Amino acid sequence: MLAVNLAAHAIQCRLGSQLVLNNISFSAESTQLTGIIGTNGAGKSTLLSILAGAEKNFRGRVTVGDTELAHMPLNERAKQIAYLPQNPQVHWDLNAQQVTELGRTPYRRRFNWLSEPSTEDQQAVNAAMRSTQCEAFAQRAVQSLSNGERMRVHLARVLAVQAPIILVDEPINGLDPYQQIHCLELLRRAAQSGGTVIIVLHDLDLAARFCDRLLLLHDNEVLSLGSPTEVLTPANLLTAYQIKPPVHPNVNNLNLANWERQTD
Amino acid sequence: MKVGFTKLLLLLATTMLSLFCLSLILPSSFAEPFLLLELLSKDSDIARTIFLELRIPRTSLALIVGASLGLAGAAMQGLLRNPLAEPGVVGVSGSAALGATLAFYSGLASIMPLALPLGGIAGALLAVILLFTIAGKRAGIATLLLAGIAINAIAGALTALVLNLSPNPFAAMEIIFWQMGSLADRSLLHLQLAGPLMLIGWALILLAAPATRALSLGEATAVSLGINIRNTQVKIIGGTALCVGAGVAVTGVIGFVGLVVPHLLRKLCNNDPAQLLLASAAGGASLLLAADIAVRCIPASAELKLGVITALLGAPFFLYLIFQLRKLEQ
Repeated sequence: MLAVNLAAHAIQCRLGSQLVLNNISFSAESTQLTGIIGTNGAGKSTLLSILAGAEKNFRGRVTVGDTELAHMPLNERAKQIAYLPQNPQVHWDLNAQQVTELGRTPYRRRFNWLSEPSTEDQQAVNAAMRSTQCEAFAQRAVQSLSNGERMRVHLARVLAVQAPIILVDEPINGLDPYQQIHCLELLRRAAQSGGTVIIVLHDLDLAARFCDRLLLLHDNEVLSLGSPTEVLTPANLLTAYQIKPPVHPNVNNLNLANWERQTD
Repeated sequence: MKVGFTKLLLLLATTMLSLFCLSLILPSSFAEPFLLLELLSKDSDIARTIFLELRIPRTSLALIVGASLGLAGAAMQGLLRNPLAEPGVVGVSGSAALGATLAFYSGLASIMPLALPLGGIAGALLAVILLFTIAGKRAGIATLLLAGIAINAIAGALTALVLNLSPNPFAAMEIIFWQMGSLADRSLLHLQLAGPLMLIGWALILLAAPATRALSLGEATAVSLGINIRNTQVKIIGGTALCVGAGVAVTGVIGFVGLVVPHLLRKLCNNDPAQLLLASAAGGASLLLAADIAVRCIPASAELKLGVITALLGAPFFLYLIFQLRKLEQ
């Protein structure tokens, strides 16, 4: 897989009159799993959709390697960046295999849409379904699956793109602990094999354990960017989340169950 | 292409062609049983004229109008990701009907017969321009849908106003009868007028087929898969306006085909919105051909209007579908 980095340059975004992101600059490198964390409404999902090219209403630039995202042909961009939005939808009663096959859309010939997927497409789909353990329910309608199974199908669709850049928004929501760890292991493996992977997540324990770098958003700006130990400091967490550690904090083992809310 | 879908398409195409042939040889009314076959066997000029100038245009129009309604219905449902969407939802049918009604009202239709379909087409095109102007450049699906509903309401109100102001009751009756939809007495001229526009409309919609498939996963995901949403909206809504607008312009309003046919065929197409487009086109054509044959075979004092038959058969069937769906949900 070709190593490609994804960088945001002075991103500013307003939704209506509300400033959602202000002067966000950072770069996500290949072979790294970058986590975006922050409170609800901090702008994490908006930032990810801007990086994916889904949200166009912003100022600033996004670059993929040396190329401006805005100048990339749509199909080329789709091959470079695989994106899983927050609360992904499936309309109609498509089965797990059909949803995963949609990940190959950028590779399918536009005027030959009734043909069967090529061998290469089929291999990518099979590999993605195998790695996410979706094979057992490949022929079942996605809407009849549990939340966790559904999320794995969406993840399979993202992996089937075989893009060098993967952006996923809260993929472990609704998953049981086993599946949460499995999902994060998959994403870390994708990063280790040369991918640039960015994940939005809320679980700071898992973020500390799996992410190579973290971007902490607060008040629509970057509060901290660096390794988990650099970012997840009591001071940063107090500022961003208004939570404080118990009397003897241990930053390397963030057991949030012991933390308390800051009350004035 | 999956074997199951190939078989389905072959079956639909065979049904469509059989109904097409049946419609060509069947009498145009209950009172005239198989006169045409008798005349054709004697190689008479009357038979040839009836065949070429009445039967072929009528049957061909049933085929292409039905195909347009089925195709546009499936495309609108795919674009809006809603099984209740139909071609009329963006206001195209209502506006085409208004255009044709104005042609009646102004008297143009009696001076120049082509004014009627031309008025219909102008109304449909105007609706699309209005739709995209109101909805703006970055229109979401909800905005487009609301704009379509508003345009439909305006067109409906204006049509009612024209009827209200109609100088004599006969003109009003004529308008009302026309709006019920019919294929009776349509000529080759109607076919030549609607045909090319429909072909362009079909091509536009079919170009958006891969996009309807990706849109099953919502807009954000479709964009990330390389789909240009604006482009898709223009192709599907523009294509619908052309083929359904041209259809309404020559036949009047024919309801329920665009809604029911995709519903019937969706499961058989593995729920794939792209496969559904072709299947619905063949299904819509078959349904309208069958409805037109029914209209001609049902003994009645006046020929029943096609739009009346499709709604009469379509609406109870739709209720039955809803009932089945409820049973599944419980």
